[in-house]
Amino acid sequence: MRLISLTVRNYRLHREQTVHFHPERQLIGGPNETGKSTLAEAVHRALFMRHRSAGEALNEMKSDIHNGHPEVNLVFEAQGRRWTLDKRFSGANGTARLMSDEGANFQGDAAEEKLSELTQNAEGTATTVKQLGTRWSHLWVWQGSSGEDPSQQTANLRDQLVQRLQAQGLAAVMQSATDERAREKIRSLYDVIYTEKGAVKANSRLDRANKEFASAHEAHDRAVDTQARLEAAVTALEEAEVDQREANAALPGEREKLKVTEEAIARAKVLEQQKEAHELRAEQATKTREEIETADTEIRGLSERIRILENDLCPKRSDLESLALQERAALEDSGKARDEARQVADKVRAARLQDELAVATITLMEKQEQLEALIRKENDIRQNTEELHQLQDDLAKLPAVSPEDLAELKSLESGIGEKQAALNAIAAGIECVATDLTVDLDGKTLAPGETCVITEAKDLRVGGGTLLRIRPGGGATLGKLICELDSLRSRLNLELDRLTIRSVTEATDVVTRRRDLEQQISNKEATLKAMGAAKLPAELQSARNQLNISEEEVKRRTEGIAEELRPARPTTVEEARAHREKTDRTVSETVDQEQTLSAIAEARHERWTGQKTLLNHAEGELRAAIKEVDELTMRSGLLERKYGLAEARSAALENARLAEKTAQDTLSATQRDLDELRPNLLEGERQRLIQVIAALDAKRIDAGNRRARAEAQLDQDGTRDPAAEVLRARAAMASALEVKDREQRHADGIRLLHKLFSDSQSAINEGLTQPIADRVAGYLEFLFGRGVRVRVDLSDPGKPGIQLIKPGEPPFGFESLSGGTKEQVSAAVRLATAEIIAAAYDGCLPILFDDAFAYADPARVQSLQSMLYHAASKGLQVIVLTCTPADYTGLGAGVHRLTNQPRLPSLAANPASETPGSGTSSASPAPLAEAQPLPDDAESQFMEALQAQGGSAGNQTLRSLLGWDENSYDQVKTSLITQNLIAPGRGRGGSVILIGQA
Amino acid sequence: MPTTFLHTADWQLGKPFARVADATKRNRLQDERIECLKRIGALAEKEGADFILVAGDLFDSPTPLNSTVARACEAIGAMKVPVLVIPGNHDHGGPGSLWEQPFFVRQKEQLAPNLQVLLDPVPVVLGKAVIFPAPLLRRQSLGDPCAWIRSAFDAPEFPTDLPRIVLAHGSVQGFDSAQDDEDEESKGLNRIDLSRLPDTEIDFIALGDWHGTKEVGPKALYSGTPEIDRFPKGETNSPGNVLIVKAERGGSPQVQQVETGRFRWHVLEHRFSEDSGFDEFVSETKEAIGQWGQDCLLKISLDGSLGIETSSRLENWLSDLETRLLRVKLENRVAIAPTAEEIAALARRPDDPLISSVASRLIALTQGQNPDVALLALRELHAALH
Repeated sequence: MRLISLTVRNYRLHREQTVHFHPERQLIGGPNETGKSTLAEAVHRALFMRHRSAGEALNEMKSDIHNGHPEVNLVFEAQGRRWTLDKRFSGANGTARLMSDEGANFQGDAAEEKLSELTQNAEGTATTVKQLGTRWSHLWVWQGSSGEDPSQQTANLRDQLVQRLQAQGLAAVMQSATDERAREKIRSLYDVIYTEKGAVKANSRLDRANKEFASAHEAHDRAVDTQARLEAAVTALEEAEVDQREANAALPGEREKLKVTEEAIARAKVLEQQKEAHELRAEQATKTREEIETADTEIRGLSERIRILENDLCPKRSDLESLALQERAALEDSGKARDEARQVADKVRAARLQDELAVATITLMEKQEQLEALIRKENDIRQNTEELHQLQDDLAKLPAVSPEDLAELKSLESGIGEKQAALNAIAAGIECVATDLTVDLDGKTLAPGETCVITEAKDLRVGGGTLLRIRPGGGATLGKLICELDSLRSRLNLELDRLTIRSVTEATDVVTRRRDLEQQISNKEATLKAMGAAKLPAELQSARNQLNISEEEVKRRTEGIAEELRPARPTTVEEARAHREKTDRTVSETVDQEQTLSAIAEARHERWTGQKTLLNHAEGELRAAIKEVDELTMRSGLLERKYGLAEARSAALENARLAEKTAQDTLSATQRDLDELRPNLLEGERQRLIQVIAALDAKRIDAGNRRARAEAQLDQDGTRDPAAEVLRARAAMASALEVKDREQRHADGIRLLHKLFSDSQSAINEGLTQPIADRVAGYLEFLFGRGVRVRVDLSDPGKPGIQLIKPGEPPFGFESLSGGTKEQVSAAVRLATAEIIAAAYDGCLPILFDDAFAYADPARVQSLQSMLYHAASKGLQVIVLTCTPADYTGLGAGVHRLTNQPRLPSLAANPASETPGSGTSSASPAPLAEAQPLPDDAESQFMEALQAQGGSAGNQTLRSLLGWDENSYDQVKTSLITQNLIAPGRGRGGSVILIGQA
Repeated sequence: MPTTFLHTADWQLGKPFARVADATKRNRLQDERIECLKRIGALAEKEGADFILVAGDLFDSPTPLNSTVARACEAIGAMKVPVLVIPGNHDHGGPGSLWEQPFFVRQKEQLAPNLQVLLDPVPVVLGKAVIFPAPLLRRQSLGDPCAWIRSAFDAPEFPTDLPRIVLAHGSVQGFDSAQDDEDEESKGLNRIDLSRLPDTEIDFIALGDWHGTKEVGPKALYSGTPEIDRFPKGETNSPGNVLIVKAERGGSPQVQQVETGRFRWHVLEHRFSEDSGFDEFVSETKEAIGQWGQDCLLKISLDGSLGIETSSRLENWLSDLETRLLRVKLENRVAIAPTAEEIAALARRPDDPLISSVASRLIALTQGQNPDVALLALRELHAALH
């Protein structure tokens, strides 16, 4: 089925509007509010709305601005024929006429019926807007609905799709009504048991059975527990009774044992006290016996000791006497030796005194010699010093002219000489050779013969009246010389005065003289220094002092020697030394003698000391022995006084031994009695028995309590039989288990069936949907590239679904896609579906998209055009309504343009479009009548049309697109070329190109 | 003149019959046990019995309901002869036992002064016999409760000319009441060693515990329960009787078995090899039930396999039986085996691809290791299509 043309009259804002459809691709463009959607609706209503419809459906179509009833004229091809449909919608007066190119003519309802047959509209033409919505909803994409999930519409077409696919041998199978009934029945059974997620439904039979089993199980456990507790109570009662019996039986015996034990303890205590008393007595008896024995032994020992000591005393006394004699002899020997040694020591001292005097004498004599030598030296020095003083006096008398002074004097004298010579050379000499007159030169009378040299201008008065002023030559030099000479002379004189000499010659003499004297003084001073003049006084003083000391020593030592022994004073040193050698020898000899005698005296003294010690020791021993004898005797006497003499002591000892034995025997008897009682175990036994009795008491009381408790538990009120309840609970549990198992088996069976139905249906559906999915994918490849897949699920009529699967991405459900992708996927599904179903319509079906790609970006719009082009190539008549026709230039579609001022009524009357057969060959509107003026926006239309052609178009094509006559076309073209907006191009019949596109 | 007495046991009064789901049926079963006592009383009177011996398990539980106790005492009180009872394993004595409970003591005094509960292992001298009771003082006794009787004749302090009757409850070699009761577990306790009792000193041994009437020695018999309370096991089991015994000192006892039971307990076994076997089974059950289904209890053990259709019919029949009879105890091991026709009807449906596919897959699953669920599913599918 293919649309050829549409004309509407009085239809909403359209007074009259005709569209010629391109056989494959038609674009209807125009701004908003120009009636594009109205045209889409007009075609739809012509095909599917009953001509006598009224109410809302009719009111919607009526025009507010044009009079007359809405009319639609639709020309189309179907079933190999060309049909012209005229419908006038005027409620009950509406008309319908359907005519074929073969002359068939249907009026009114017949026309509607035929129309429904041609459109394969099983539901018949609609009378309400709601009914209309279901007709061809898969082919008419209304504005605003392009993003809706198309799967529901596709699902509605299941039967048609299956038929078409089966017709195409694509193995699609269709489940039968029986299948569906069976599936529904199983599903309802499943729904009774399971929730949507597959869990067991609350309160389902299975759920109840499960719960009842659980409850029965619990009740059983409770019953068993109750029974067990009851049985435990019986056992507890038995045990308590046994315990009670045992405790009661054992208690008296144990108490008796305790009594016996406590008596034994009391008896043991008495025996213990007795034993202590006996022990004391026995101890005392033993002590008495031991005391007597000890005293007796001691007395005997003392007697023996005294006897031995007294025997020892006699020899000790005689030894002592002998020792005393030896001591005295040694003492005497020692005294003698000491006297001898002392005498020799005196000799040594005397010899030493002599020797020391000799030494002192020698020293004195040596000192004397030293002093004399020093006195001689003193005289020499004094003489030299006097000579020095003389020389120094001589020098002092001379003027103190130094060689430098002399040189200065000589220099001055020489200068004077030089100056004088120079003066003389230039001075004038006046010689009074003879005169009779007073010749007076500068006041000084110049006697004849007297000469005078003048070195400066001087007045020479001769007589009274002659005054001569004589001026020497040389002018100023003379004066200067004179001054310098005077200066030199003055300095010489001053120098001479200072030196207190008279002449330079004298000065020379003085200098010579002074040098000699100074030399001599220097020599003398050197001599004196070499003689040690400086330290001589000290040396003299020292020598004198030492001499005095020596003299004093000699004097002292001499006085230390007895007068008769004093030696004669030697006269010489040698004599003195010889004497000294003698004294020295004497000293050595006497010293040797003294040492010998001293050693002897020492040895004898030591011997005496030894004898003395022996004597003292012997005396000590003797005294000690005597003392001990005394003490022992006294002690023995004391003991005998206390314990008596030997016989008395013997009798007393016998008595004491008897008493001791008696006491011991008594003690042993008591101990035996005590041992028999085993007192060490008695207290432990008593404690044990107390504990045993306490434990038995506790056991008796505890058993009593347990018995009471058990009896209370066993005391049945007779309203329940726990044993029977156990049996009942067990039976109930078994029964519940049986029911549960049965329900579970039933549920399992239903679930298995449900699953198998779902699986099988999925497989069947896949057979159906796969060809659709393949086709949809074929379309989507234009948009998303190769590899894109689509899953179409139509298994559940209530919940169909579409999923988009891009390579490498998880599947996306339709609802999760973006707005743009929804539109595009939806379009692809519609195209695929239409393509399959089109086979039933001679291979062609119109599919209309009203502003259906609002969300597509420019790039995607280009891809969309390829997709739509592809659909058209598969036999579909693609009609696109858009307010941006320029976006769809790539579609290569026939273009019908609407404007806000739809004022091209001539188009509507174009008879060519209504001519049968013409629509199939040309979609272009007929050219405008020559007389028609160009529209105001002719240039814009031209540019848009050219743009829509991709910026380049043949003149013929473009002109036919615009629908203008040649003149108008050329006129506009020329204008645009002049404006440099387009350029003429090549090609048959010429072409135009958009500037910038060339 | 021999002493005549009734030997009975295992009255099991108050037995709950818990496996019987229907309360009315359960009550009927329980009530009949009391009713049976009237028949025993009448028999005693008719036979001129000197006394009645109950060899244990008078009550089913050591803690019977008061109502049961009261009804029991009432029924015993109606008997015109002394009734001597020993506690059995179900109603054992011992501390706190029902026999000591004040309620029982009161009821006994008020309603059944002829009732004598023998709680001590000592000879009891009656006018015409000496009874040697072996009461069970606990549910499970390791020792032989009759052990004391072995030396009871060494220095007799009872008349020696009276017949001596041992009254005991427990198992003898090879017999154990728990073996055939679905509610009990056999533990082999309370074992009585008959061989160790002095044979010449004893004239009769009245035993309880085994619910069928059974002679276990020249003088030793189990009377069995007077009203059947379980499905019989084996053909030799003969429950539902009391024994009339005539005994004298040194003589052989004369024993007569009298049926006292009312309800019929049957066991049916059947194996299905083909679907036609179902009708055969129906005939068997009808025969077993007879005319009065309401007095009948049936234990059915089924085996073999049936087609889907027939197994559904079997279920319906079993369900009917369960309603009609006092009780049906069912052991149903019948497998569902779809017939070739059934398989074809499900899996070969060219017009119904979905059903065919599902059925084919189910049939494949029934060939697997765990076919049960698949078979059930097949049956559900079958049901969904009919």
